[in-house]
Amino acid sequence: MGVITVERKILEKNDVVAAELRAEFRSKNILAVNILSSPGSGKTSLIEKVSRQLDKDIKLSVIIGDVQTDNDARRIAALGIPVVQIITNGACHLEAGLVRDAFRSLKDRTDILIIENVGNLVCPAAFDLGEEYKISVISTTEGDDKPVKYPVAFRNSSVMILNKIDLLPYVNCRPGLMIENARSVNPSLKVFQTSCNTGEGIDELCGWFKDNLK
Amino acid sequence: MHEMSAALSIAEIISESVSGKELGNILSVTIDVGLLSNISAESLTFCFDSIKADKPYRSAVLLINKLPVKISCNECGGISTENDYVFRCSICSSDNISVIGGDEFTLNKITIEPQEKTSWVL
Repeated sequence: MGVITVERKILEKNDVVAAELRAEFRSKNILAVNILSSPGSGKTSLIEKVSRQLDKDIKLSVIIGDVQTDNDARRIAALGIPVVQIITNGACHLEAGLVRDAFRSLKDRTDILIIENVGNLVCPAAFDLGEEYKISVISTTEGDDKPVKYPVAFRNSSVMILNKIDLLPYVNCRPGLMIENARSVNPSLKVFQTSCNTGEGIDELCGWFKDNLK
Repeated sequence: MHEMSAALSIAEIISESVSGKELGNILSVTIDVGLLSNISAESLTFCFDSIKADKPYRSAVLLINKLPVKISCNECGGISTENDYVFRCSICSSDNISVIGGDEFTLNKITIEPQEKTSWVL
């Protein structure tokens, strides 16, 4: 029996593009973040809130992935922020090549590039997009055990945002347990608790972005 | 179903590895899938099987080695493995650990039938 030894990473093409993007972001002093969550946790609302409260001299650009519609991009564009919508037509995640092409079409200078991934905590966790940090968003209407149900997403993230905390009186969410579960897969996770309705926690989140600017 | 992207990448690597060579039929393709790669072996097999249906290697089998999470403890110095998403040392229970394996997703080898020679055009 003949054997051809291959020993190649199966996602190497994605990884090569991601590494090139990361080098480019760093050389241009762009803080790139990749936001992951289930559908409906509030990723776009958080971007809207952060963009309104960030210092005006910090330039923000956004790349948004959705299975269908450019609804989210229109929300961001309405705030005067450069944005590119990637419609994946059914694909469950973004890949580095898609992000590179989207980034090429952004012409304005930017300090922060927010990549809003397709709403899904499984598939996006497998694809490096060249980001500096992954941020996982979870909301109070989701189960306390979500971080341990989707451990790879939370393990690979530097930040977790617990969103919709204004709903705490109405839902059976135990934020302490949720955070404890998240830290059981990733002890160094930085946690923010936010509400896009009341604005709670958004200043602290903006502070994190500022602190991590080059 | 990101396994379809992954299965397409496997097909691409197979093409690049065998194209233009005089080889027998491909019997199997062996890959490593670590627990932290977030790849489902079952979905990947399903996707690979549908891709190979119209390829010359339609009878090739995907052999998947599932690999555990490998942990190096920063407290006791021990190395341990976990078949679950547990990120602590199984020797001293410390969570001050480094993950040193488990995110593998690698195509290791292609096994070829020795007898008949086929000129691969992919």
